[in-house]
Amino acid sequence: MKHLLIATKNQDKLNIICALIDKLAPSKFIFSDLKSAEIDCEIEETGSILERSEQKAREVFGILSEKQKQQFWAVLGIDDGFDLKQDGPGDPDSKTFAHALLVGKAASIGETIWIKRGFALCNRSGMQSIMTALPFRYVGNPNGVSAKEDGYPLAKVLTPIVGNVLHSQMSKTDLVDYYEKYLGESLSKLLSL
Amino acid sequence: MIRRAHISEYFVEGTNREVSHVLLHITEPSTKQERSKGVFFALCEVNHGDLAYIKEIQSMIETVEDAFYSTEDSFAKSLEVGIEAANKRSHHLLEAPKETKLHCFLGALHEDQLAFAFHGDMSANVIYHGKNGELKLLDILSDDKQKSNHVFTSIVEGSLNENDYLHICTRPVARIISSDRLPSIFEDKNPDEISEYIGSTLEKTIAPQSFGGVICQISQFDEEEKEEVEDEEEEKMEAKRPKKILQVATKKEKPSKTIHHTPETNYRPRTNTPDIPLGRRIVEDIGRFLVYFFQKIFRGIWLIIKGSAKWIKYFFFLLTNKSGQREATKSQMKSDIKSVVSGFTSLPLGSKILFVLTILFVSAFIGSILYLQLQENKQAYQQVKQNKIFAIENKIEAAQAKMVYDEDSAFTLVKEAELLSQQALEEYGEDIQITQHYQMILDLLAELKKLESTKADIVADLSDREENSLSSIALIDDHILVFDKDTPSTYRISTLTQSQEKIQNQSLDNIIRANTPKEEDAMVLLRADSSIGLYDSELGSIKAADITHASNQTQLSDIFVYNTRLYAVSPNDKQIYRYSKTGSGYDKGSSWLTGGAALADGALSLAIDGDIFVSYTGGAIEKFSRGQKEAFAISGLEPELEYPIKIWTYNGVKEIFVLDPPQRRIVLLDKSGKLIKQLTASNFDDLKDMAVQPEKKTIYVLSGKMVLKVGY
Repeated sequence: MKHLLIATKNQDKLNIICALIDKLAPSKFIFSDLKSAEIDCEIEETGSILERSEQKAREVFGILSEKQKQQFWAVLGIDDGFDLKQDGPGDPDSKTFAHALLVGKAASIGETIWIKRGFALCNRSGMQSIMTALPFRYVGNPNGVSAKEDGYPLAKVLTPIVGNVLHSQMSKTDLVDYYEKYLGESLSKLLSL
Repeated sequence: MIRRAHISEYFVEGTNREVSHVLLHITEPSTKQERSKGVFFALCEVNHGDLAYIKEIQSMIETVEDAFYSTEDSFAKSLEVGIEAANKRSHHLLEAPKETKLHCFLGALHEDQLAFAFHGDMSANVIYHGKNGELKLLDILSDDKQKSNHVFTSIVEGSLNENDYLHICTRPVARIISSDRLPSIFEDKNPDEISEYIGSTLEKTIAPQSFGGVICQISQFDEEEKEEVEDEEEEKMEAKRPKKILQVATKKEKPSKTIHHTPETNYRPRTNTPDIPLGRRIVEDIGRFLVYFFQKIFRGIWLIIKGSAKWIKYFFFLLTNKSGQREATKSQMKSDIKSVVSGFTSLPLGSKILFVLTILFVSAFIGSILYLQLQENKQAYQQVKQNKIFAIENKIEAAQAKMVYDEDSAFTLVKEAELLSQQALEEYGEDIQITQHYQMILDLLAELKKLESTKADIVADLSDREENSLSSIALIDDHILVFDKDTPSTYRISTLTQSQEKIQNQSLDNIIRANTPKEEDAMVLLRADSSIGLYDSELGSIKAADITHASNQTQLSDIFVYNTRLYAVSPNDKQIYRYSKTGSGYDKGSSWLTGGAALADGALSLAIDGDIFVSYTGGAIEKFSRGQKEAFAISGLEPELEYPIKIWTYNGVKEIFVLDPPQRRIVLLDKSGKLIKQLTASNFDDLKDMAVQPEKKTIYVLSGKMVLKVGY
């Protein structure tokens, strides 16, 4: 089994990505996040979404001890952003976009929001990265969900393209299936599955 | 001049073949090699033998004949080889039914040399010329009594003088033509004339037995005559075999009427084995061997079964002494053992060696089969074991993959792996590989259980105090108050200096629980009779306070102050009561649960952060919000709570703390019920109460008569 270090502190993001990879390659990977690997670092994020994911992967890999470099097969850096177009570059300032969306200024109801997610894999062999796009439909914010809420507040205003079940109310299995539909192929290629 | 045997025979068939059956077998050599061996002859009488038995005898004679002519040894040695071969292959003939008798004489004559072996009761005489020319009689079998276990005696060798006779006949012939008549019968006659005479005499006798005999005489031949005969026969060897046989048969002119060409008479010249293709011969030989082999196997099995049955019978009689047969059985057993031993010791050395080798071979054969079977079973056993190990490994790997992002699934997988490992350890004992996996599983379980084991620091040791029912503690102003439920005794311990002092209690005894609100302005004490007291931290004193219950059934088990109101849980009427503060205590309580909501049986403790969490004797924890029960489930906790005697949380505190004395632990859950961690300590013993100081991330625990503290 390959030991993959996911360079994130976001538990929701960690859960969904690990579940997706485990579905793509059952029992082929053991996962660690920065917390379980006891790595505490602040990474300066600049540039595009893809560049930021690469920075995370590179910097975390750089601070690994020699023993940890032997322990982990690779570091997976992830960075998110939003865009209203599938092929757009994505806005890496997620917090601003999320706030704007929750107050109804970023998109109109029924409009498709693309979660642009960059994945970068860094190990001794070098760096590989991909850009993905995951579509959701904005259904408005009648409950006045705040960006300050714990977890992932946007999950309460977004649904998959088909259906009207909120992201936050989707079962874990359905959510992983949905992610697999849009991210599975790219991620498989990146991880050489 | 050379000497050569003149051989003649007679045969008269009796009236009852079943009583007596005579086989007469004379083989004259046809090739140069065969001539170097001389004439082979056999005379046998079988009494009461069936056709199969007679065929066996014929086969035995052919065995001797084949061996005699095919070996390159000397004349007598060749016959000996043939006799030995017959003895080896025909031992079973001796095991024929009692009434079946075999009498047989096998011999060979080469020039004047005679060699023979015999079995049973035959008559063989040499009629020789005495010094005065008169014929005398010598019984050549009189000194050779058969004692061997074999069919035939060992070879007897001798010589026959020129013009002397050798007369071999079956015993019935000897009874009719007595030996004292023989000299006169043989006087001045050649073998053919004698045969004719004896044959005609016997034909006159009407008897059930058949008669047979052979007469030999050594005569002189010219060298030239010999060469002519030999050359002629050599030429015949070049010709085709059927023609040659015909020619030889034609040349041999048999004495007429005394020779009856019946199935008994095997008289024929020596013929060469026809050219049978090698493949066919191999197949036939294999077939014969297989028949012989399986006959022996079946016979061996039969003997084993018979022997086993006999010995079982012996043991049965030995054990039960049925019909008083124990002694007789003992004696029979001894006799059988002696018989086996003597049978073995009487065997010739060669047979002993063969017997031992056979036993060794059979043992090795059976041993090999058993060994192979064992190996096969061992391999199957190893395969099953390996599969189980693979199954454990798969579970471990799948669990490891899920540990970071899906603890519930990982936990389920590790528990499955643990069960498989325990079963494997039970089945295969302390196998290194399984033990290593099991240890790995325990490590994973500990990791998933988030069980942290530490040594709690001692804040106060009250062991030397007289109170034996210390029951609760509460924190206020960097002090811990420890209450005894049977006495008014209360101790105040500084969390900073750990100094202890007994405080004035004004006889307010039976305090079972105490709670300090966040504001830390006062501590509310609950007594066993559901009355309350207050502790004034400024005065350092305890006094009774007013409280009125809404129901006579109310029996409070725990209290909690939240937003200046007192909340209490009453297991009796399955209700949570809320009391408002008054100048002298608290007013009459009202039911906080609404709309028919009620507690389950066995409520123990409550904690409030806006919502109310209640713990129960069975280990359950329920959450209530705005008077109604809400979904709440504990996840990731192993083992489950047994007796959560105390639960605590507060608004702004992320954890729910649960004291579980049976498992000697404090469980920290998040507000959704998911396990955060478990804390245990080697000196956790008889846990009774706890007080949490979240701002210092410290938990104080009343353990027996000691106050301990652990960080979290």
